[in-house]
Amino acid sequence: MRLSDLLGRRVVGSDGAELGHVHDVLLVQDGPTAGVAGAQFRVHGLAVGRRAVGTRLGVVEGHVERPRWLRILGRRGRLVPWQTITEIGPDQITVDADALLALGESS
Amino acid sequence: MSPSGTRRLWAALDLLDHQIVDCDGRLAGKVDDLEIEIPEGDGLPVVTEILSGLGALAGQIGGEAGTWLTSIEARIAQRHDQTMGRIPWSVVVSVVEHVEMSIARDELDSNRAEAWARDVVIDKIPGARHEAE
Repeated sequence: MRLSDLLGRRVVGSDGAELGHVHDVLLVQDGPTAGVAGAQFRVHGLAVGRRAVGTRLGVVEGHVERPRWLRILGRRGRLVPWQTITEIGPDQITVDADALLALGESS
Repeated sequence: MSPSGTRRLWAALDLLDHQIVDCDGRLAGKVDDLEIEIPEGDGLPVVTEILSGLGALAGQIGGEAGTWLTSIEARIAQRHDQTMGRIPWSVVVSVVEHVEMSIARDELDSNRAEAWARDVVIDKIPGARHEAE
């Protein structure tokens, strides 16, 4: 699978709720060690939302302090943990709505 | 960094389109895509390769333009008997503003479009083989 297979893909909950599209993918360097760079990056979650204006402009929540209105623009929607994904289809990604709720990410 | 001290990146924002630099400090292309391996069972997917070059870029673009780029890449690859531009994670030294590798760019398949342009187009121009003064 490639990163481009995930970006822009529609995301729906198992209850049929529309969550938005994948705007970015969260990588954490906690995988197996390979080469001089150390640990490989692992996919921990997907930034999913209905709007991507802030993401496209490079304004990310947590990276921008002022002005405050830019922080609003930078909201990425919700972070969908990888463990809650049940299916990656050709047109959409399905997420376990119950698991998402249990993790405090209501759909 | 995450609270546990491990490094966090946003793939599209912090990696895509970022410059790749080889062991001699020469530019070696840009990050056009990532190969992600999904392990058997419940493990999290792992980024195994950085993809660079026309073929990888075609995946990002998609549609008819992507198909067109893929066909060009396939023709160049056939001519050079090489596979797609893949940089294994084992040769990545660091990921900061740019991606630094431990090998020279000539060892990468991702430079084949540039090599093809040099061999097939540039070298055919009269005077192109002259050393720079």
